[in-house]
Amino acid sequence: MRTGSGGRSIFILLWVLAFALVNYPIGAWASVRLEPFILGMPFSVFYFWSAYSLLILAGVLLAWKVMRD
Amino acid sequence: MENWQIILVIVALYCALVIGVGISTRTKGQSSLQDYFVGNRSLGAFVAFFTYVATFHSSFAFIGAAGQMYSSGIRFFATFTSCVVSPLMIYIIGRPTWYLGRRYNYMTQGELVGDYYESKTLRYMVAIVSLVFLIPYLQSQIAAGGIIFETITEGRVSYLAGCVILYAVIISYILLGGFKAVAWTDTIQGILMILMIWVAGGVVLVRTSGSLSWSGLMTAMAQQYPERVMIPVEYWPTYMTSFISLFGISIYPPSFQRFFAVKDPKTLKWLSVTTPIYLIFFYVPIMMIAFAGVVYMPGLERADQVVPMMLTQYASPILVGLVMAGALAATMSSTDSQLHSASSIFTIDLYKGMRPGVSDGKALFAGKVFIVVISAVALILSQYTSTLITTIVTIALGGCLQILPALIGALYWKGGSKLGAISGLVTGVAVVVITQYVPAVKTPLGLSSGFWGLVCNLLVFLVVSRLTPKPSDASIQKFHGYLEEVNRQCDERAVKG
Repeated sequence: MRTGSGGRSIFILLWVLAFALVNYPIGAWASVRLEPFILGMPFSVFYFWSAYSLLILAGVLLAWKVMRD
Repeated sequence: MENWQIILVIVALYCALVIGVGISTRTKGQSSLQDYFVGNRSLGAFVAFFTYVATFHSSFAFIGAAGQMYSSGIRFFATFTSCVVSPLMIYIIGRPTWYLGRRYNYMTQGELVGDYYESKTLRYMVAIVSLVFLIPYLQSQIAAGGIIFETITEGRVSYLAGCVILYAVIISYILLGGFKAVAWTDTIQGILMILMIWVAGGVVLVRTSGSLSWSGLMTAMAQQYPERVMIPVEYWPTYMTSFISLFGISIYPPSFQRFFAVKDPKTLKWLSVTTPIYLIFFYVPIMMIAFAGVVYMPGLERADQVVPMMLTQYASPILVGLVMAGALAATMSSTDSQLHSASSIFTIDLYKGMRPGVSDGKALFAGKVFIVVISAVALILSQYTSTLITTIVTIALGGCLQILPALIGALYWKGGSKLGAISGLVTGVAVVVITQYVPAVKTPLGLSSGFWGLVCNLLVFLVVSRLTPKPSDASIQKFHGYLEEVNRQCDERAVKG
């Protein structure tokens, strides 16, 4: 189910934002923090697993709403 | 029965299983080239998913990745970016490739690129570059197989014998079943890999921490080895750019061949966003084993021994056998695809390219002989280097990445020229080799040789293309005109609902 060009831009922007989470400077900020521990993991470890999960989710939305076929 | 014998029996059963798959996928009567090399373009989503992820994750994912997490901790997460971004190339490059492949019966990169730029020279160059960079990867995989056999049998099966066993099993099922055998064995291997590594991760966690909770392990890591759960700021340039070089994975010939083999473009679209789920979450148990190794088995001489050593220490022989079969599966699933792809490049681009009138039967026979010869070459080479798997793989992917600009010209940019593509490819490959091997200019700024090769390649491609003649209007229409028409029809269907 593809959406209009305005809607497509939003989904592309969402993906770019998710991608920014695992890059400098946001990723670098998160990567040196051990506290707080979340779900038993140091913050840095938890952060990257979560951010990459979000990036995957953003990709699925991209396929659903933006990509052809 | 001793432990190593139990493990060896399990691995032997696994080898028998994949040979059985080769026999069952064998085409009755004479195979056509299309059948043998792209499975009659009929690959469904399920098999396509597993053949892609199994080809993507080689023995490195089992052995090398754990070693890297063991020695440098979460810096390894940099490769996750490639696990998400690189599969997007399945859609960006794979979708137009699928349409062109189906329309004009292409089966290799060289065929497609050579036809667009109307240049046999470029077709041969793409083929040769692909083959040259496939061999180190093949060599590294066969070497990894030798290491696995040697490790699980505690040295009773030598490294050389292990390499030979791997070589014999793989070429058996490729020669029997061609692409279908490769795809179906990949599927079995992909499932085995993910199941076994998760089971192994769980078992190691329970045996070391007393439960499935990783809190204790993570706390110990943060207290004793904080540098391994952080990423130093000076590593960020490498972190942010490593995925560019690893784009090469998705246009690496074995992956690229799957673009031609799937049955519809929708499969490619969903593959591009769902394969990262497998590719990334494969590393959760790897991280558990590596971190448990850091805490409970510190100071290993060879970091890439952490998985087999931890399992031997903490798991039952049956589980060790199953996990090692999984590691072997990771090796085989990449090696078979590389061998099969190398054979298709040789047969379609070089053999049939130079002898257009040759029959499919003769070409297929030549392709099968080539599989035996090139794997024998890789086997011999594997006896000289059994370490530095990561470095070799990086060169291979970075080298194959240099085909990308020529592909962009054929699929997206009408301004590309034959001379631009040729000069870009030559420059890119030269820069990869120079920035990898010449100490004075080795990986400037800490960025990979593949990255520098691609940057120089693109610049030369753009500049030379501006100054030299473009492909004929007929060729541009044949490619870009057709793809524009396909996109227009897609958009119309989307609007209608």
